[in-house]
Parts: sequence; C-alpha cells; structure tokens
Amino acid sequence: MNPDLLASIISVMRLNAGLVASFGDSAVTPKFWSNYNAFQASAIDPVMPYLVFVEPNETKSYETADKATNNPSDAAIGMLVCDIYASTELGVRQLGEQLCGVLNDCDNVINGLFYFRRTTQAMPPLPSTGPDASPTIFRRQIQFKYMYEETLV
Amino acid sequence: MADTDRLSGKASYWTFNGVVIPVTKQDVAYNRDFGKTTDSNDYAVAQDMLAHTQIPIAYQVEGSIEGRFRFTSAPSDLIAGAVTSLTQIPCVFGLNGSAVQGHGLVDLFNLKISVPVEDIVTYTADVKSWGAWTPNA
Repeated sequence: MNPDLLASIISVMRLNAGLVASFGDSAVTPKFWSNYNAFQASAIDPVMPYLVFVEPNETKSYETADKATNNPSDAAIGMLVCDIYASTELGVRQLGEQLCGVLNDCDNVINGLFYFRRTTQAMPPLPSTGPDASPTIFRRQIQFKYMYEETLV
Repeated sequence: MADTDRLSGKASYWTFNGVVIPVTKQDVAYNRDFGKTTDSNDYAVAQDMLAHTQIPIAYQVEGSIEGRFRFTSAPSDLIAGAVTSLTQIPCVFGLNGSAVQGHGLVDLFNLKISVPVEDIVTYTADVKSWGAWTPNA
C-alpha cells in the first residue's frame, strides 16, 4: 500500500484518458490536486475545470497479531472529499459523475485497499459572481469512503 | 514508565486449533454450577428463615470472539469447523506476550458472519470448554 493514498488515486485517474481529457489535465497544467485550500480570488478562474482532494478524517481500528506476520494490524477507514470546480452547473455535475465512474471500486486495482466508493455529494454555492451577479464558478463536492489494511511493524 | 499492573488488549491473542487467529475482542466467562446444601443448620432464628448455602459442583468456561473475516483463517479454521462434528479443539486465551487467561479444549458454536455492503466483514463466535480448563497458564 502506497503511504500516499491520494497519489495512488490520482494515478488511477490519470490512466483514464476520458477523465484526463475532460479536465484537460497534463504535466504542464495539472488539474488533479490534493490537500490545499482552493480559493477563488477573482470571478473568473482561468484553470477551470479542476479538482482538489482533501483528507478530513481517517480512523485506525486495530486487531490482534496477524497470523502471517505476527504483527498487529489495523483497518484504516477514512473519508476523502473531492471539490470539483467548473464554470457551469451542468458541467460540474457531469465531471462529478465521470470521476465517480472512474474511482468507484478502484480498490480493485490499488494494492491494500478493499473499499472505495462515493458516499455523499453536495453542491455548496460559491460567492464568485460576474458583472450581472450570475454565478461564475460552480463546485461539486463528493465524499468517498475508503478502507485499507496495514500492519504495524 | 509503563504500567505493569493494568493492561489493554493490544497484545492479546486467541489460539484456536493451533492457529493464532487475529481478533478484535475476546470475552471469557467462567461459569460455575452450584448445588444447594441448605439444611436445618442454616436456619436463622432471628429472621425465622432458612438461608441457602451451596457447594460448587461443576464449571465450564465460555468464550466469545469478535474478529474480522480473513481469507487466511475464517473459511478453514472457523466456517469448516462450525458445520462438522469437530470437537475438543485446543484453545488459548492470551493476555499478552507473557500472560494467558488459560487454555484447554473447546467446542465452537454460534459462528455468525456479518457481511455489510458498506463496511468491513466481521464475525462473532462462541466456544465452550470441553473437560478440564487450565487457568492462568
């Protein structure tokens, strides 16, 4: 298991050509970010669409020693929150669905994970508006629940 | 400095049929049966009542296990044993690396595997001692 779960998640995302194309992600203009506070200082955000993952919580739940390694292990159960930013409401919804299509059950391809699925989603409004007071940035917020096992050494 | 008198269950272990099976909790109950021996000597004059007395006549140790389903142990060590005539299984309830509650032979019963779609698969199982139980060793 990669200690950086998000690095593994983003690697899976970058293997999906459709998702990469929809966001316009590239080495020059990366669109998949993690653990920073996206703050729109202006009404127009020129790099949209993009997304930011944050890790609000992870809980370790321990077991007695493992039969194979003779070391205790734990199940780590946590939540990843993904905020997607785009210029239209429909567009941000569609990007959210496309993202979940790629990431739901991605535990099947990430070593150590045994659960990864969307659990909740929301459309928290942003204050950014244009000259006519119409919204200029929309945010889709999706929470994923994950579980993986790790061994204490 | 570490407390040497109290402990958590972090270093506990459960050995069943010679295999150390990871668990999340073990409960051990020591049940004793008593026979009433009340006779006229137990008459309390001031109360005008007989007050029961008893003698211990039998005991049985019962353990309850909670754990997470693992393919390395649950199918072979628990499920298979739960539906056969397998009996008198060696069992140890370990407290930590140097202390145990006891050991002896047990029979497994009440195996219940819970499979929630959105959470980790767990099981509970009960064991009941078969014959003499060795405490604290």
